[in-house]
Amino acid sequence: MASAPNSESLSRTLIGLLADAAFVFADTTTTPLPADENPLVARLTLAHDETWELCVCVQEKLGDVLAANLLGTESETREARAASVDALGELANILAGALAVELFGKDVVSRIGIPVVTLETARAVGERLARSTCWANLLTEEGHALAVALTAKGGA
Amino acid sequence: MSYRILVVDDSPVSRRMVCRAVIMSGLDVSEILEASNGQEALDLLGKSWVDIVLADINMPVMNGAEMVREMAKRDFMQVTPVIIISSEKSEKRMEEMLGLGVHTYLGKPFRPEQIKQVIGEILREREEAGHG
Repeated sequence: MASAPNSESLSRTLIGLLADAAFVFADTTTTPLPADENPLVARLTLAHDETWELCVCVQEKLGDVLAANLLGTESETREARAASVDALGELANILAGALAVELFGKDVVSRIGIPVVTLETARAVGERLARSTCWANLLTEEGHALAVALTAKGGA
Repeated sequence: MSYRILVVDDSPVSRRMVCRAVIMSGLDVSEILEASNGQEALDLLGKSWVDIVLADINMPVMNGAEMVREMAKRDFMQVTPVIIISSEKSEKRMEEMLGLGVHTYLGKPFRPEQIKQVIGEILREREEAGHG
């Protein structure tokens, strides 16, 4: 493995990616996702000599913003809302590509799974984060919360 | 001369982003076809002429690497330039895809100018080869 993941490297990679890919500017926070909202959750696996599950959880409104920014439209439009699930999956896919190099190195071909995006309860997300190997909470400059987690799943 | 482009990606959002970049490149496009995996792309390529393919790797049903291998087996698809646009950033993967005959490998997130530059290169190469 090229390097062991930790909350700092995970959040740094996501923060850079959000800015580059989706023009969303965020920073780490100690504030968790709102307990009274059901966030959108994207999950996918990264595998080489080890298997990891990447999980990106965002407030639904942030899903709309991601879609709007990727599509070049406004977040309040029907088009953006319809594309929010796909946009989060695409963001998770791009993040997985960056993390795969950090986890396994540049000289190997890793296997990146297809993202699965679902709406989960805040409680289920909290439990998912608690079970993860490392995770981080982020807050965008527009005040939207998100969380990212990596969970070791054992040998591939 | 106008060109037919095929964009292959399982993510509709990603396809839209690539389509926008192609349009922004200034290329005279007569039609942009879309496919959500490699098999759909091969089906389209078998039915109609396409000048340039822009494809992801990580897709269900048939991924981009398998699609490129299948294209190489068919005479009339061998000459179609393929631009891979993928989130996979491993150097080994890039070497593998370029070894399969892919024209250019771009990492996601890409900038529209990168698409413009690569399409420009492909058109210049075609002109030099007398296919302009």
